[in-house]
Amino acid sequence: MAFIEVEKLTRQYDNSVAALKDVTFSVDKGEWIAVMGPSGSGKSTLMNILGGLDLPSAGSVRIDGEEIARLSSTDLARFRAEKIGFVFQQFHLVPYLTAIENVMLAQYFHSLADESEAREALVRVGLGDRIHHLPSQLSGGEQQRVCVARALINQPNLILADEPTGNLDEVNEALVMGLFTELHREGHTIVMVTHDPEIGRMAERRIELHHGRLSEVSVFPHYEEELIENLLKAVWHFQEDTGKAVIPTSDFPEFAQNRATFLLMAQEELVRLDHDDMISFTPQGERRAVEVIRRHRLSERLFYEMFAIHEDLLDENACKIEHSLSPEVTEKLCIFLKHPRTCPHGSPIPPGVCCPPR
Amino acid sequence: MSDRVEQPGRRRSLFWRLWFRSLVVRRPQAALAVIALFVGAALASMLLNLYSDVHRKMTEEFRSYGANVILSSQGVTSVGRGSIGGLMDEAAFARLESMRAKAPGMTAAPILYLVTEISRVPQEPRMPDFENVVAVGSDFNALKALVPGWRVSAGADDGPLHTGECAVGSRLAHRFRLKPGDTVKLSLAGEARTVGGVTPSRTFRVAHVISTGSSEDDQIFVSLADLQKLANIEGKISVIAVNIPGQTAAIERSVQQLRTAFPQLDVRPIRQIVYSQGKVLHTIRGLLVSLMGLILAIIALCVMATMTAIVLERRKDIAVMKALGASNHDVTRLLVMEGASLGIFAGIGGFVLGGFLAALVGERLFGVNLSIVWWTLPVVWFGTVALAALATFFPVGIMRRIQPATALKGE
Repeated sequence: MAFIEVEKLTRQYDNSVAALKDVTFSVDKGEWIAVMGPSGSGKSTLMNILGGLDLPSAGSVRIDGEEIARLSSTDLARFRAEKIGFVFQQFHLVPYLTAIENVMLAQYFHSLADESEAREALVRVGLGDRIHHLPSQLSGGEQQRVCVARALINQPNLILADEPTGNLDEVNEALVMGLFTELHREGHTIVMVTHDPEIGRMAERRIELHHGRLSEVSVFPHYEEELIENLLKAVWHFQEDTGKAVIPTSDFPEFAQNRATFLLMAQEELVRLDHDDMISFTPQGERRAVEVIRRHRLSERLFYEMFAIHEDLLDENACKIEHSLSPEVTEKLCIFLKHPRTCPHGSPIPPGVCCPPR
Repeated sequence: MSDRVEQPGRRRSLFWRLWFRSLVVRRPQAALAVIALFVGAALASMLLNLYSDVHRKMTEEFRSYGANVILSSQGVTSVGRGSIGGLMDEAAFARLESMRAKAPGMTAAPILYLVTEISRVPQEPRMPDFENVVAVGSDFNALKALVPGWRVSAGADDGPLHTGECAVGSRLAHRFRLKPGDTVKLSLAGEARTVGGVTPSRTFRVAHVISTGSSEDDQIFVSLADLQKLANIEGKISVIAVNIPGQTAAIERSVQQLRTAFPQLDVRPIRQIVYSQGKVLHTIRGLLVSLMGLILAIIALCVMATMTAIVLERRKDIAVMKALGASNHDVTRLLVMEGASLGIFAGIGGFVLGGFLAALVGERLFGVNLSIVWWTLPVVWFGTVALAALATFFPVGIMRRIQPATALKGE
């Protein structure tokens, strides 16, 4: 049984907007999941429900075997105290309590406040010399580290982090993410909401929400390159079909379904995103797209000419091998097929370095 | 999960830290609530002190009005020489004296009224030769005890009247320019003017001039024996004036007992005084209770408003606590303790101030020295703490309804 099981989860406010709609996924114990999506996609609502701060309108959420919706308010409070550690973007430290007292507050509602244990937690996050400082006397990064110390003090099974680095500079972001990596190594299950594709890549899996629906499930990093290549292909095809170099994202359904990956691609300078409205290739992205398209169409040509595979099955079979072809093999294949100019469907095959000038 | 073991003592330690910090950080609001409770406790303490002692003080006040029950002979059976109304045996007073031992606080005086002529000795020009005045024969000290409001405005001392001494009312003294040490002559007036062809008269030295603010200021007071002797009616008195302390019902009961004990006498309560005593006492007590209720209600509302403001200001902190695992019970306890603790300090301070105010009011309004009624201390203290805790009822409701998800989002 998975540690978190979310099934057909729906959260609707005032019988109108559905913040979440039929969301289903599961998380294994010890996994690190990144929840991504644009603002208003329902990420925070999902976090609130996972943390027992909000209840689903329909569907079920089971955490460590407990059905959240069936818990009374007292049991829910106990559940939060014992099983959940929250890290918020806005830190949410009690302003009139010192760093150590903020950590002890979590202990207090769990069982008992142990000052030495709280001090150790703060030393662990690098705040051994700031334990008696009020939140207002700490920097954003320090406050977030207090928040992490508070979240881990009760050794919770599940750490829920909502944009934990959203308000931090790069140095503090690295420090805080280092702490999460440590926590993950220790076996904590982490569910983290983030906008940042780089942060998202640190997770083992990503799920993406769009308008309250799960639009992209379980993107594992080792499949990420494949996905990026497929999306480059999709952009190429769209440009080819429409003749437009700059594509309105509203006309390009793949963008909405893979927004997080497109953000990552933009960060890696494969595509150019203009306020999420227009998408186009960068020179680097275009080069990589040419390679992918070339591999794909050469593969189709190979299957068509050598194995006489039916036209309808060519794309599917080409997709299976195109990602494993190295540049050398691709060149050999092109030479073997005598530098074909088109695929079996008639689409042009971009020329490679081996091809004679056309 | 952490393997810490529950230790209530250590939980309490952080609880008090949290309590203290939360109050200190909201000093202005906490101070406002403490001041409101302090004022409430002070007024409650003052009113309770007055309430608990109002009976005694008002009884003393009413006593200054004089007798509230009169024992007299039935009908006008024996009109003595110049006497006003019928006469009765002085022995009745002796019997009443024996009864007084069983009725603490009861005061009484035998009185003989006679119409007499008074003249100054020696006579002085531009002054009346004589004037008819009511002479009152009584135990002067008993009379003064019966009507403590009388003021002996002049005189060497205010002791009893000895044989041959008299006290004159201030208006009478003014008309005859009498002062202590002067001499007056009293003679029987009217039909009883002569006894066997001789007009009984006697001279008296003025020992005191008294001011009563009523008709007694036109009267002359001599010892009972002197007046009886003047009219030759030894052993006779006109009335026995009695003051019975207490409320209407208690006085009515005593009157009934007196009627049983003295069937031959007419025992009449002076209803105007008796009933107004009861009514005033009832009204004052009702007023004190209503005032106290009103003040406490206003204070409760004030504290409630302050605590509500504190809760609304702390919405996010409470949401964080709930997110960390605080149950509604935990946060309720915190807020009620914060409220009640304000009451602890305000209650003590309010009691002290209230005691002082009660003493001040007692002295100014009732003219008595008021001592602090100690049983009101726990009442005021616990009452203030309870009021402060109760005032958190509404804010606690708000607090319990705080949804962490919504509050943390800043909505």
